[in-house]
Amino acid sequence: MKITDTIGRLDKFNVKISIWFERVAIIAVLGMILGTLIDVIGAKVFNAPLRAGTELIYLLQVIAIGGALAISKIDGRHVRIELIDRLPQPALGIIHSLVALLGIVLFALLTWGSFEYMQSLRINNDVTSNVRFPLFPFALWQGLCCIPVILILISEFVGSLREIKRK
Amino acid sequence: MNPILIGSIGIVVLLVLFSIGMPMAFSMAAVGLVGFAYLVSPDAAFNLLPRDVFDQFASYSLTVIPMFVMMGCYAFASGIGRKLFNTAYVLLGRLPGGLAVSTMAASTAFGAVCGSTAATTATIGKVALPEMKKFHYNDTFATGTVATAGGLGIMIPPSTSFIVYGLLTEQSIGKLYISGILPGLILAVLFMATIQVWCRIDRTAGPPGPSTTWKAKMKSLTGVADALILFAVTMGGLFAGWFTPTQAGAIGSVGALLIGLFNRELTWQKFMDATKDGLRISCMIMLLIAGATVFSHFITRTTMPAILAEGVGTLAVPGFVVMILILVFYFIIGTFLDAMATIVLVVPILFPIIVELGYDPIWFGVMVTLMSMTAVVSPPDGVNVYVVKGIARDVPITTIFKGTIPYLAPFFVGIVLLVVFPEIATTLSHYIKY
Repeated sequence: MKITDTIGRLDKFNVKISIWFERVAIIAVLGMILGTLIDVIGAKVFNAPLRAGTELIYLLQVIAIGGALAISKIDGRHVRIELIDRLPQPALGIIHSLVALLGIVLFALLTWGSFEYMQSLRINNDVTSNVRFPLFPFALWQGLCCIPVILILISEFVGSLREIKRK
Repeated sequence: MNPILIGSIGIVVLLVLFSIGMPMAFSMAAVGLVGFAYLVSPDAAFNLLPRDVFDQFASYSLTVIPMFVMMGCYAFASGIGRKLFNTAYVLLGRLPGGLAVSTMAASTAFGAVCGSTAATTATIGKVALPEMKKFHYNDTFATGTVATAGGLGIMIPPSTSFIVYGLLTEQSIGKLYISGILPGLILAVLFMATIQVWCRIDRTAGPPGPSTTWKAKMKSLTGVADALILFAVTMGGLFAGWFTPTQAGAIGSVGALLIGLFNRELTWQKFMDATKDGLRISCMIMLLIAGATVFSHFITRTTMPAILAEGVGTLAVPGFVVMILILVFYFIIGTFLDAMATIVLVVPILFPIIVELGYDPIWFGVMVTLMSMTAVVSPPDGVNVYVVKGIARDVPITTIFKGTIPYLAPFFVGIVLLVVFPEIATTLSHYIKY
């Protein structure tokens, strides 16, 4: 019962945090469209393209795509083959838990790696070529966005283990 | 251990991960990471993973993906598809299977403003299927036609498959887009001919609809204006070299929103839903590309693509035999992999072979995209079929899959035409100079 409550609370938290990340992502993707539009109109009509337009747009893309990682996972958007979904328990639960575990390891490495990458960008003072935006906050964002994905995968892992037990 | 053997083991492990249901993007990244760690060093692999993901997310050339995906989602929310179907229905509804022919025509036209096959299927299916039910269309015929028609969007620009192929192989997206137009139209005509044959063999499959006056026909033509303007501005600007693909996508997104507002179709809720949908689709594609990038770094280290290309070059069989084998291979993997996955996974490995054999990369891009069309209507991952199932809930999924099978015949005719006359795909591309 306790595990059920904890997982239920974790799921609610995951949805909540993923929605918050998605809100930031929505602002970023709309910013990409608006920024590109201003850049085109500026360049074609007024002969004055948006300064740092290109940089702004690809950096906003990091925020947009990173921010949508968790909600896309919850929404089941990531392409997968559903060949094994008709297998009986406990085989299905074992496979699901293995898949979730592999995902946890992958995203844990990606999170850790992103923070290390952020650190190296900060130390080397890596910036964009035109207006010299620092790049490290965007690597930090990438790492932060992976954390809710890990939490979702942990919840899936525990859920799959419980599927095995339930048979 | 021999790098080629390690590469082969990596591919086998990848297929195992796919078959146990691990998301494809995660599978490719995981195998790429472990393989690279084995071939180079764990430290190098650990550094490669976040950098590859960051480099893709922060790539300006990839910004074209969210832009065109958003354009498709906004076009979906703006009522453009419904108007297109109404026009096609008034013009063609009287023919045997007229509603099905209208569905094909409307899907082809909607494909010109929307790069997503699922969105095309949903948009046209929502208006076409209830009408087909009203006129007692056979379920197999009606649902199979809607699912297949939605797939046409993959060939007609703006198609995300062309964007991804272009980015992976460094080909001009403008050239790929313009090259898809004629094959897409030919395929649409072949599908319409199939509908006519089907309805003549089985007269109960799609009875003709009511006739309309010439006045009504002329009046209905206003329904194509929205799509025509949007296509002319975005694709016209792109083909003429006025806009980059990213700019064309952004202008198309804003254009679709304005059309939605003008038509009083777009509500705040629809706008938010379309934005969320577009964002999640873009995220899925970008993560797939990031995973494929990690995997391709590993595969490149194994030297497999170069050795394969070299080996194929020395084979005693003519180049077209190799090409036919490649196309058969694509068709087979298309039946169990997602359309985008077939491109990101296989193109980096096979592309050097195509170059070695002397084939036009633009023509190959059209062929790859065409072959990946099978992926959207075939089990187990036929996304269009699941979209149709969501609309026609009372129709069993096997009936929908069955309804797509007769369209394999015109599909193969289309492939043969493109293999025998590659100019169908490449002629228009010569007019694009960038």
